[in-house]
Amino acid sequence: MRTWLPTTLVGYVIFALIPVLILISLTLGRFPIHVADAYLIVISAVLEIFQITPIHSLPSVQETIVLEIRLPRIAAALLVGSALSVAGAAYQGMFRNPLVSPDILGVSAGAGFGASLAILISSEPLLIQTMAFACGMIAVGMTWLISRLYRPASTLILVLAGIIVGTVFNAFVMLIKDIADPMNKLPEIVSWLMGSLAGTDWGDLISITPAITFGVGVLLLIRWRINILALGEEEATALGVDTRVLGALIITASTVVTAAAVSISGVIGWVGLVIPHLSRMLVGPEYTKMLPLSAVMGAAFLLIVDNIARTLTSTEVPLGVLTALIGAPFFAYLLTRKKVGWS
Amino acid sequence: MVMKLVTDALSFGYTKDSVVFSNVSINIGKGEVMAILGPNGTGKSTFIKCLVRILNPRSGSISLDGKDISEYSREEWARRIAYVPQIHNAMFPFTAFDFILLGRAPHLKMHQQPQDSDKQKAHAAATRIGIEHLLDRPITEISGGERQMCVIARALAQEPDILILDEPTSHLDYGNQFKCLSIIKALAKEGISSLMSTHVPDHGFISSHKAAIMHKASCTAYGDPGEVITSDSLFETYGVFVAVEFHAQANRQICVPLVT
Repeated sequence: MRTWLPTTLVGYVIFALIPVLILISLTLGRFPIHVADAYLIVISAVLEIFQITPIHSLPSVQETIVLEIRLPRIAAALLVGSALSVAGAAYQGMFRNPLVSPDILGVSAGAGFGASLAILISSEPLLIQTMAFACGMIAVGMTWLISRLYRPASTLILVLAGIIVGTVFNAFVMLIKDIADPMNKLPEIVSWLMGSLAGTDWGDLISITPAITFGVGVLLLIRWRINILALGEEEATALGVDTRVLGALIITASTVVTAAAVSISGVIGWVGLVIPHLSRMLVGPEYTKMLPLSAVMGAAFLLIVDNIARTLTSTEVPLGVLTALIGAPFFAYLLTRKKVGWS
Repeated sequence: MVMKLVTDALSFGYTKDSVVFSNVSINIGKGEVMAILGPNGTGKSTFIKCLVRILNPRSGSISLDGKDISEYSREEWARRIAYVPQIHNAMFPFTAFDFILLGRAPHLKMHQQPQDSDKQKAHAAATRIGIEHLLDRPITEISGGERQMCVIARALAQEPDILILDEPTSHLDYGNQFKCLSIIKALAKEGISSLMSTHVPDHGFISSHKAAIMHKASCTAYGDPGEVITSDSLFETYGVFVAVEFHAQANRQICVPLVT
């Protein structure tokens, strides 16, 4: 007999860890900043927003690094991490498959294509971001349409359609890589495809926050219903659930969330696969418990990985490489434990 | 008005030219139990899936309380009619309680979480079936019989008028088969009707008020179990000689296959 940990306890512990994690993250980097200073800078900035005179002013270099470079990047890591984890968890329930990740329906392939094309045409960051988001959405739209050609359309058909669309977009990405200028464009494309949060500014955050908040919000709101889809389409239907409407809602929310996240971070694998497993192991498979936990743990996980990415060597390590290198062995370790949360 | 589920000349086929079953007309009243017999592949499960709106019939009608099925929303239908599938393939190890609680789905809106009252009803459904001791166990780690009881409890949590059970006993051991039947019988006394498909002709005599035989894609016999389940009809349906006799100790008709 299995016993899951009490959800509230796990939630509190991880929730309490995040501010600590943020503070530590602020001190990491080539320019040394003391924890106390980082704390003061952030607090002063917050107070300033509420028009209260700063209690303490520090040299402007430190302030710039903390507020303009590290803080937006930390916020982005939290946001992207939780977005990918929530989307992955929702898909795993909907597709009744613990091996599903957020890019199952081709969103990452589409976004990769959009970004590569944008880089080929110009290097305007906003264009790259917009194209990545738009093409990610278009790819999933195509997957949905292809799956509708079959009757009765099942989630299995949807997965197959996702593979088809993903293959086509990946082929286009390869084509773009092939024709891209190997001196400047190609490295940029490759680095985008490996994922990175380097250079994230508040502008990036402002553009993705509404989409991610909306999508994660929708998924959290309907999270109990994801359990019903996990019973299978027939039983869900007999329980009075319109599986097409619910499925479309989950796909839309997850795609918006993933496309938005990927549009600023590039392709980051494994987070959306590993984190839902981890939270399922901790509190069990029930979505009212595991989905919020996935959001919080995904945020913490990507922040830690991104800290490693920017401090491990003198140059940035691609985030996608690290999530895979940390995520995959971690996943292997998880599987050796009995309590995997699925059968 | 007395609750009644009626099908009239119901037919289904997956494609235009194929017919899974046709012209099935039956009705179930309040507190009635009906057994549907028939060989594999005669459309019993498909018929049942039409009744719980998993499949849409090609022609004919289904009505409840005189109102056509199309006048009910999916949720409204699921609040009246609950489905117990042949076997539940559990993917995630939900606790039995969380699993039973899912039966509250038709009573909750899209964004709603189950309230305390829903949890009480799930609990009551489990108590009614006598599986309170299983509530904390993952459904992947209990026996097939126990899981079947959980599915029935989940159906009861829907607070339905009618249970539609697809071969509820086929995966159960000898003892659990009769436990399951006695639950169906007891529920009928409380006014919850059941329609079940089965491969055991005796089930028509044990707990049923009505019986039907589906054979060769149609309903070949329907009515009082004593009239429907006979040596002749069983031979015609299954190609097996069966003696159908009254057994004094069991106080009912019994079916003895004359096979050695």
